[in-house]
Amino acid sequence: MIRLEKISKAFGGQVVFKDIDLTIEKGNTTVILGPSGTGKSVLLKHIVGLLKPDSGRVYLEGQDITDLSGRAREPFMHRFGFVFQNSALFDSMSVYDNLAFGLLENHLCDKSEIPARVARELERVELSGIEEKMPAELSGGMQKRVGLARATIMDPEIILYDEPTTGLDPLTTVHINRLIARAKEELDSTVVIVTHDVKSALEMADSIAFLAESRMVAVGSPAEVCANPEPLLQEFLNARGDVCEHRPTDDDHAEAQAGR
Amino acid sequence: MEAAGEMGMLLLNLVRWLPRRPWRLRNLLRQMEVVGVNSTFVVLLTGLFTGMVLALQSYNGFARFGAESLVGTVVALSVLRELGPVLAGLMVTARAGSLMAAELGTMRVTEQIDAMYTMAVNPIHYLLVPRVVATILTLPMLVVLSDFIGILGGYLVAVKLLGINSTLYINKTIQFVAFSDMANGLIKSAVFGLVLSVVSCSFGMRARGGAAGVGRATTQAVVYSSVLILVADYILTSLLFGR
Repeated sequence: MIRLEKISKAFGGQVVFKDIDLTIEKGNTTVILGPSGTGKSVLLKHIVGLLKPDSGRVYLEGQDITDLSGRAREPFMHRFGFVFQNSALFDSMSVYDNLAFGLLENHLCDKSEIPARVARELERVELSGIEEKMPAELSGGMQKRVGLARATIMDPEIILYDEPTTGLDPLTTVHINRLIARAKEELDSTVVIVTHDVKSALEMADSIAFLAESRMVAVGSPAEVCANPEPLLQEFLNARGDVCEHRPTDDDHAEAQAGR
Repeated sequence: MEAAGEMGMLLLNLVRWLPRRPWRLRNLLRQMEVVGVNSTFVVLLTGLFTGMVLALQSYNGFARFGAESLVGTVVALSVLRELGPVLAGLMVTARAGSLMAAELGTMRVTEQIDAMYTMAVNPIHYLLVPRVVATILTLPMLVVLSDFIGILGGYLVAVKLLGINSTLYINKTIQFVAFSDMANGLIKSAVFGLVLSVVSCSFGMRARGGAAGVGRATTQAVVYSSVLILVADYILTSLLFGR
């Protein structure tokens, strides 16, 4: 379980958010939803330690990891996988080297096992055989999938996705969402997704946290969030029509979970 | 002030990470190639013409009071103590320092450095330590080559072009030039290597805001490195060579 307690952050005097509380349950998919520029990605980076809060604490399994850095943080970093908004693939390395990087540098497996693990992860994201390609030779959607493969190759317990479908066409978006669900299922991981894609959020989330105007406006299951009368939330959810009307119900969700 | 503070912090972090394993020799050798081998031609060219110009200029001056035989001494002392290390430092700043700042800056703005951090690999250890160590090690090597070619250039102009007696030129050079002149020049160049690599890496690591930010970081890296090399040169000269 990840717990954010009274997290506040400002950049150069401009408050991004203030006193954010959020609990991410183990094994769940939590979606942090909200308009652009409300600090969703900033909040995600606090979880993994890329940013430090001005005040507040971050707990992982009850342990305070807020101020850990360097070697003290490394054991915790192995538990996270992070998929960046623009993939952040190492552009001077091939796809193979991008995927092998974490394994090699952390000595997580024998060198002879790495080719098979790279192949396994590429197969998981349906991109087998592109090991020798350079990131610049891949399309945006393919880069996202390689980024996903790189995040999952170390078998993390928690996978954080920063806007995984932003800028993709609807078909690729569906494909990426399916791969995210598959990776979660196969790795039995906790998933946190930052997005402003309401439809994807309602489809994938066990829990939704709606962030707007520097505060956590609402937290709950998709059904609870849809039923929440908060005007800011309803305006955002229904900006492109009534998506809540066609959302899967909590019962559908429970059935889907049971059927896995 | 903020940049200076960040540079100080970076230097402390570098010292902290330097002795830690793994040592990544392959990364170090790759950076020695980038900083050293790839800068050799431009440093040699600079050294050659500097020695040649020095010979011309000092000949013109010394000829006025019949001291042409000291041209070799002046060329050797100037190249070994001052111009070799400083000009090599400035050329490596222009070539390799700018590359470091641009490369790290691009990695910073495209979140590649953050990605490395999320994979439990410390970017200072993986990216910066090899660059700084490689620059400290290779700049003195480049300066040895630059010194040699500079003195050779001076000799060719003085002896072959201006007609100074070869034996006299060499004897006067050996008579007045001590090994410490070269050694101190090499110490200077190692410090310049530290200065230019730390400054360039620091500006690269703090780049923000896309292509414009990377461009700004690169320019700042070259300007600040060059100025700091000159400042460090004065300080080191007063410490190493006295008044």
